[in-house]
Amino acid sequence: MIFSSVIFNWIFLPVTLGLYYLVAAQPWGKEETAGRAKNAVLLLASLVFYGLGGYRYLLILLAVLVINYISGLLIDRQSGKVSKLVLILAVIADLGILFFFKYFNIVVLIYENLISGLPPFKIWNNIITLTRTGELAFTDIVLPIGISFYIFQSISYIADVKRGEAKVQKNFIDYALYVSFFPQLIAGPIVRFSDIEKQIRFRHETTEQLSEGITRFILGLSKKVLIANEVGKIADEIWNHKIGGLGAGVTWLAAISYTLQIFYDFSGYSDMAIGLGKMFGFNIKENFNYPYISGSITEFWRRWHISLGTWFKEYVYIPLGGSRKGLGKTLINLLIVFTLTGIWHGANFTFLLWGLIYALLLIVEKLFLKKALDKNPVRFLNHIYVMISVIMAWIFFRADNIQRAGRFIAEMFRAGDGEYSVLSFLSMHGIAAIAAGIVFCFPIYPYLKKKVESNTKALKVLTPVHTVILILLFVYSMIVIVSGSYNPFIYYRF
Amino acid sequence: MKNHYFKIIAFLSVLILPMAVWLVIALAAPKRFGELNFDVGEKRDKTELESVTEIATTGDKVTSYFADRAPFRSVLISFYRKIYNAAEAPYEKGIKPVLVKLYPKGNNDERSSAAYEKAYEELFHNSKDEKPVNPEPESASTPGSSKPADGDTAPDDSSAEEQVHVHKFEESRVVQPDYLNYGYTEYICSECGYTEKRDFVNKLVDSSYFAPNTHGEGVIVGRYDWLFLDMTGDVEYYKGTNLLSAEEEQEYLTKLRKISQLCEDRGIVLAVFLAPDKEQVYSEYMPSYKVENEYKRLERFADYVRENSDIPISYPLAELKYADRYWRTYFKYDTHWNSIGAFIGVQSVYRMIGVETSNPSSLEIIGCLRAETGDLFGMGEIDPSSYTPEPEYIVSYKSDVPVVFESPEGINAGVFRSAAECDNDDKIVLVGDSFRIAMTEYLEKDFAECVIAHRDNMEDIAEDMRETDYLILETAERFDYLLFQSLDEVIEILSP
Repeated sequence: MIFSSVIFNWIFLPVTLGLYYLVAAQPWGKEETAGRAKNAVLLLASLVFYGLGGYRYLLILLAVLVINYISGLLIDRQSGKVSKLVLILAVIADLGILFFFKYFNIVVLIYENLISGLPPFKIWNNIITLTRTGELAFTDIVLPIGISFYIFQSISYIADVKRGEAKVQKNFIDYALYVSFFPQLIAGPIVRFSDIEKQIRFRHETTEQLSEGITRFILGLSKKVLIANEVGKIADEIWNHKIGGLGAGVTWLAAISYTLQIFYDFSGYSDMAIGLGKMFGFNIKENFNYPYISGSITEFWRRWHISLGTWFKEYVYIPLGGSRKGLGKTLINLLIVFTLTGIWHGANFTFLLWGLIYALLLIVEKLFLKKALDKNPVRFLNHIYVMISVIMAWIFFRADNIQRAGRFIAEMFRAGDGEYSVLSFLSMHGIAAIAAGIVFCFPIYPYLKKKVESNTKALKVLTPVHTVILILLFVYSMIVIVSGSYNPFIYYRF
Repeated sequence: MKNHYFKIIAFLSVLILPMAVWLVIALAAPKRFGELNFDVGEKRDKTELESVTEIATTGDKVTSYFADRAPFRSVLISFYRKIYNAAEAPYEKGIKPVLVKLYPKGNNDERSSAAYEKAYEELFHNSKDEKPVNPEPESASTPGSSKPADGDTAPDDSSAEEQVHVHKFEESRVVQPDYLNYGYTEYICSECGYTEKRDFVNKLVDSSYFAPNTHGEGVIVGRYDWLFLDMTGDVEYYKGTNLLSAEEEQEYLTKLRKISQLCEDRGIVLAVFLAPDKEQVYSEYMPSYKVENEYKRLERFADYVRENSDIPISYPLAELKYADRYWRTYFKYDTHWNSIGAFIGVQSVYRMIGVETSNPSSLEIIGCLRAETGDLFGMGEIDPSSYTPEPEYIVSYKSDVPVVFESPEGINAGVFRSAAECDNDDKIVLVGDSFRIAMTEYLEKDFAECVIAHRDNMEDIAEDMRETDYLILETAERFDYLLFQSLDEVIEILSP
C-alpha cells in the first residue's frame, strides 16, 4: 500500500487514526494501559498495511522481527564473545535474507551466462543488460517491499544493543512496532532505536503535533502527486522511447525531470512518513535537507537521504576506521561505503556504477577539490558542478542497464537536431511541475515561514490562508489520485 | 490554537466525509448512487478480488479494487478532466503554436499522388462497372496533381489533352463535417456549370513542425486530431526504420514458396495480402517524425516477392491513398479501415486471384452513422468528449445475394463461415487479423462458400484450408511478423 492511494487515505488512515485516538483517550482509565493499547493498535495497523502489499511477505517480516528480537535479548544477557557471536550470526541472517530476496536473481543470471557457452562478448552483453539465458530453471524471486529498510533498521538495533547505545527492548510489541511502524516501514527514514525508544514507551499526542503532522503529510502528498508524478510522466515518456535520435534537448529534459522526480518522490514520501509519525505522537528525524542547493558532493550527501548516510556512517564507515587511519584508508573506506550504498539500492550494475561515481567524486573532493570549492568566490559555479554531477549520476540510477545509460549520456552531448523536440513531451502541467520543482528545491518555504512568524500581523492573516491552501492542496491531490485510477481497457482485438 | 482545530477538522473531513456520504447515498438512494457512478469511458469491468491468493505477493489488486470504488469516482474524474483541459488550453492554443514556429518543417510524406492515381486506376482496369468513380476523376484532376492543399483551394482545373472542355472551378459551398457527414467543398465550373464535391474539410494540411508525441498506452495524436497507434513500435513502420534484413526476406519467401507449391499441388490459388497501416495511408496527418526510408519494410518485401517469385502479393497503399480523394478509407480515431477501405482491399485481393473487380462507386452508400469505433481513445487515455464525433459509412453490397452464416457472433467470430447463393461457386478461405472483419461483408457475397478466420484459429479451419479454391493470407502491416511466424503452421496444415 502506498500513501498516495485511495485505500490509504480514505480507508486505512481514517480507521487507524480513529482506533488510535479511541484508545489514546484512555477508556480504561490507566495511562500505561492506554500506551500499550496504542502501540498494539499501531502494530496491528502496520501489519495490515504491510500485509495488504502481499501477505506472504508478512512471514519474512515476522521472521526478521523474531530473529532480531531474540538476538537483542541474547546480546543483552550474554557478554564478550558469545554476545559478539550472536551479533555476527544475527547480522549474517539479516543480510542473508536481504541477499536472497534482493540479489539472488542477479547471481543466477551471472552464473547462467557463465555456464552458457556463449561467446564472451555475448555473455558480457547479457550480464550488463540483465538478460537471463534460462539455463537454470529458476523463477525470478519477487523482492518484498521495504525489505532493505527494515533489515537495516533491525541491524542498527542489535548493533546498538551490543554497543550499549540502546537498551534492549523486552516487550515484543514495542520492539515490533519500532521495526514495522507503517509510516517508515517501506521507504524509511531508517530510524535508530535509541532515537525512538522513549517515544515508543511514552508519548503524548498534542493538538499542535497532530496539526503539524497534517501539514507535513499534506505537503509530502502534494510533492509526490503534483510534482513528482507530473515530472515523472515526462521522464518516463522520454525514457520509454528508443534513445538513439532523441537529441540533446529531449535527453536533458528527461534528465532534469528525473532529477526532480526522484527528489520530490522520495522527500515527499519522507515528509508523509514524518507527518504521519507526528499524527501518532512520534518525532521522526529529517531525511532530506534541500540537497540540490549543495555546494559540493560531500555536502550533498549530508543533505540527501540523511538516514541512510547516517546508517552507513555509523555501522560501516566508522567501524572500518572512518577517517582516523590516514588518507589512504579513508579513501578506501569511502569507496567501500559508496559501493555498498549503490548496491543497497538494487541488484543492477547501474546502481553499482551510481555508487562508484559518488565514491569517485567524494575521493576527488577529499583529495583536493573540496578545498578548491571552499575557496571559490563564485559559489554559483560550485552548485553547477554539483547539479551536473548529480544529474549525470541519476541517469545510471534511472536506466534499465548500463548500455542504455551510456547511450543516453552520448545523446545528451550529441551535436545536431534530434528527431524529437522538447515540445513533444511538454504540457502546461509538465511545465508548471518543473517550474514548481525547481523553485521548491530552494528553502523558500522555511524562509517565508520564518519571515511570517516573525511578524505578528502577517502571522494572524496568513496562518488561516496557509491552512486553506493546505486543505485545497489535499483535496486537489485526492482528486488527482482518484483520477489516476482511470484505466481504460485496451481492447486490442487482434 | 483555533487554526490547529480548523486544520484538523478540515483534514479529517476530507479523510472521512467522502466515504461516509458515499455509503449513505449507496444505502439510502441507490438510484442516485447509480447515476453518480456513470461510465467515464473505460470500457472495462471494475477490478474484482476473486481470491485471497491474488494478494499473496502484491497489493496491486487491492489498491485497484478500492481505487475503482473510490467515492464519487466518476464525478471526480470528470471534474479533473475539466480542470486539466482548462489548464492545458492556453498552452496548446497560445504558447505551443508560437514555439512550433521556431522548429523546421517536418518531412511528412509528400510524394506525388500521380503514382497513387495510377495504381488506383490499374486496380479497377478490369472493373465490371464501367461507371467512373464518383466524382468523375478525369474531370477532376490530372495525373501528377497533388491533393488539394486545404479547404480553400480549388482542385486542379487543368485537364488531360484529349479533353475538349477545361473546367474552370470555383468554390461554391463548404459543408462542414459532423458525425453524419465527412464534410466537403463543392466546386462549380464557371463555364459549364458542372459541379463537383471534392476534398474533405481540413484536408491537407499543414506541413509545419508538429511535435511527435505518445499518449497512454501508445497513441499518437496527429494533426487535426487524427489518432494513430504506436503501441509496440508501430511507428517504426512509418519511419521506415525496421526494414527486413536480406536473410529475413529470403527466409519468408522460402516459406511462401513452399506454401505456394503445396497450394499448387492441391489446386489452390494462393495470395498474400498486406493491409497498409493507417499511419501510411493517412501519413499527412502524422506528426513530424523523421521518415528515414520512403521505401519501407512491406513495400520492399512485396517487391522482393514479386521479383523473385510468381506468388501473388498485394500491398495496396497507393490505391488506398488515392481513394481518399473520394472516400475516407480508415477511421480517424480507430486503427482500422472502414467499409470503403476494406472494399478496396478486397478488390486488391480479387485482382491477385483473377476475380473480376468492382469499382467503389458501385457500392451503395446508404448513409452515415455515428461511428461506434474509437479504440484509440481508450488506449491513449484521451477524453473523447473534446473530439468531433466521427461518421461511419453504411454500405449496401449485393443486397440481393442471400447469405447464410454459421457463427452466432457474426463477422467478429474467430472462425466465420458463410454460404451464399451467388454466381461464383468457389470457396475462399482468408486467414488474417482484425482487418479481415470489415472484408467479410464483401467476401461472403462473392463466394459460394467463405471461411474467414483469425490466424490464432487456424487449427480449427485446417480442413477448409486444404480443400479451398482460394487461400488468402492477410495481415495488417504492423502485425506482419505474426504472419511470418504463422507460415510454418500453414505449411504444416497444407503438407500431405
